[in-house]
Amino acid sequence: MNDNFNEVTKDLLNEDGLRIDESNSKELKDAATWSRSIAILTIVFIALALLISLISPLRYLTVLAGETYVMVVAVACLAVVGTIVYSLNQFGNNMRNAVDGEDQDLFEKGAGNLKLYMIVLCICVALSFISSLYSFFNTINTSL
Amino acid sequence: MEPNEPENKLADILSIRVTENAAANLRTSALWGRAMAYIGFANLLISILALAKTLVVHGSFGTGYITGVLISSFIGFVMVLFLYLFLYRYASKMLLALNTESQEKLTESFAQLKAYFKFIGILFILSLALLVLSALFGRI
Repeated sequence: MNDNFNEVTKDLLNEDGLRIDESNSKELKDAATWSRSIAILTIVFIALALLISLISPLRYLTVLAGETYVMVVAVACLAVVGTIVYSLNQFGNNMRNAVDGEDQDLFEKGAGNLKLYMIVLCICVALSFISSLYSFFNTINTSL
Repeated sequence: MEPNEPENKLADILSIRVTENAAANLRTSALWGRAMAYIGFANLLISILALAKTLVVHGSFGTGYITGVLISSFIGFVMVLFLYLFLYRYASKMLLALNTESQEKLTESFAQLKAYFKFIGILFILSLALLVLSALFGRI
């Protein structure tokens, strides 16, 4: 037991390795606050856009709702946006609580949420790049 | 020994550590973030080329139209450039911090992450305001 105690103490007093100290905890907390704000703003933005589409005299949703292809794309987009909003919100909550309560587990969960956000968004950006590359070369071919 | 050294030591013991698991997650997020920044820069380049091509094809639309397109595109390109620049800086500083165990670089990388999220947040607030204004006064 004494050996184990010594090992734990040695590990705690070990000055090697990165830590969340006073200066970077402030930056991390601010980043977490902004990420949670983005998650909330995204939900407000989507809700407002849907509301405007519903009450708009141009009836965007009524026109688009009949198309199966459009509905499938809309559901896929909502799933992707939902994952991004979820990961942003969880990152914000976990990191803020981790910094406030010096909680190691929440910090690790927050880092996992940031990873999920980056992966999903990177795939979206890559798909958008492929699409713009395709349309760019397509317009060049048609104009030649 | 400094007078407040024991307190500092205690604060160090209680502080959060970047464990192996957290470091792996942060490293993966930085690698994907850097990849996203590279793809974003390439996408920006393609958009500039597409704009140049459009201006060449529709050059006869008049100077008013071309100026409008150029100004709005320039604002868009600058915003996207800054967005990916913050992301690239976060990713490269995070990778450097993890590789060299530099506390200073870790702080800088979190500052860049804050700047990245802050920039997106401000853009969202502006777009939300524009959406509300166009719904109130425009025809959408």
